[in-house]
Amino acid sequence: MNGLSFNALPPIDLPFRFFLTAPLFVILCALLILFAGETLWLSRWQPSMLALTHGFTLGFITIVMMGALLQLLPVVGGVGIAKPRLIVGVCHSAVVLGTLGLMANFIWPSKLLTALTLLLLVCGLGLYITALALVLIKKLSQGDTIVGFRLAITALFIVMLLGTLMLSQSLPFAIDLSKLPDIFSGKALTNNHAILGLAGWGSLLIISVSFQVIPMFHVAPHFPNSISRFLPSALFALLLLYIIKPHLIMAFIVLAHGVFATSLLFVIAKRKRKISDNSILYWQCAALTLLAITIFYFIPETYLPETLAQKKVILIATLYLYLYLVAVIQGMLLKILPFLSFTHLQQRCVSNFLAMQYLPNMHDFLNKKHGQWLFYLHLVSGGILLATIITPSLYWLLSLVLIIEFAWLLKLMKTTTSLYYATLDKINSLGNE
Amino acid sequence: MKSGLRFITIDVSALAPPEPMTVILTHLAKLTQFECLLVKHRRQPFPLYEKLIEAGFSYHCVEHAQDDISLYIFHQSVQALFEQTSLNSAISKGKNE
Repeated sequence: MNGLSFNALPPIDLPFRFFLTAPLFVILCALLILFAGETLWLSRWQPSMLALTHGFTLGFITIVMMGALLQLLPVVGGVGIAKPRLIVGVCHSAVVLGTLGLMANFIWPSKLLTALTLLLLVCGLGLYITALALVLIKKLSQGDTIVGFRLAITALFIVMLLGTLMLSQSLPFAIDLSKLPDIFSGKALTNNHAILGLAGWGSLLIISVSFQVIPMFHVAPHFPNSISRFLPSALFALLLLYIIKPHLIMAFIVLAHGVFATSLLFVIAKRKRKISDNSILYWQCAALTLLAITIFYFIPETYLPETLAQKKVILIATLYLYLYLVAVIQGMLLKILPFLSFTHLQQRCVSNFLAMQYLPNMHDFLNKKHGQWLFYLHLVSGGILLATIITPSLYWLLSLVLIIEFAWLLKLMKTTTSLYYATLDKINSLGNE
Repeated sequence: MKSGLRFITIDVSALAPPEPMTVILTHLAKLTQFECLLVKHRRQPFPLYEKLIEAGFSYHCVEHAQDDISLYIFHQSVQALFEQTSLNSAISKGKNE
């Protein structure tokens, strides 16, 4: 009857901790853009550019996804991580401090900072990966999504190993890369680290989550079986092959994303509830971005204007990072923050139905119009980001719009959490009466 | 004891979260001892299960297909009656949890 071994949702303050920290990293990135000036945009190897990319990928994307997975696992698979408060306490602090250390170490390199950063990131991410792996090795429901989670976590583990290998080069115990195969040589190692981070950890997780949340939240049909069953595994296999044959395989990785984008738009179009929804806008933005990337990638450079041809790689990477990964994550935050707040409060009502009178309307947690403004701000900042890559003198405008956008996101999240705690107080007072 | 349970059926499969939970809660608040709530849903509401047990309810889930489940919720005091009812009916068909 009750044979499933399950945990209830982890306490809500645990994912909130991740979600509320993440926008602060983008605001920090915006300040970095402002103070670094035009030189930041000279090449991807600029120390301040490396700090910027890690601020976005670790500080925003990874931190939000770490919080989201904590909640998604019990909902999707019926099982949560053990000792969530302890694990989150250690992982959140270590990854936040480690990311700050990493960003600082790119700009002001020092052996002490490198060692500290390595220790914090390896402990924080390593503990998180272990805690999740202990859940994911169990036999869980919702197979395709769980398979995707397993692959994404594996990708994160590889990304962490490659990052450790690179970062430890300045330390006494460094492994001599020249004695390793070519795939561990400087540029190849960086590319493998980046592609596995963006398309493995980032995209694989988003793709797997979409299989679950789009049918669930929008009463849409399931993704075609051929997509949900094979795409995550195929993408993961391509990422591993990329390490050996990067130029040939990259085209297939791009195509795989094109296939996902097409099926995403198809599923969204077939949803039963065609009411306006901000997170749908974000998913559509992400899908159209992936299709644009697919087209842009396959246009021969000779057909492109010189400026675009020269900056093709960085433009594609930026589109992918900001208008696909960050866009989906921002859209998901707008969806799951009010949902989680409402769900946690609803769960309190199961043991005391009188508490239902205090439940606010879902829209009170996050005003729809305010969410829409955030979406438009994201489109504007995305446009300015692309323009800044072509014309670096626009950096100050990018910095300004990023600060406005992510401060606004923070304000929306604060409103949601404040209403949650105010309602919780009312419900708790019922028990004291 | 009454001869059997009275089933109250609700279909939340076309509702977007968190509406299914709202409908379930509204019905649970009115559920009498000899009534059983039969919820037609697209997915198992896993996080609800532990709360149901804590609140004195029991549940039984039958998975007909990937997006078609039947969830039976009843008071723990009528567990034996539910099992007896399920033996005499088609409740157990499908994958049980």
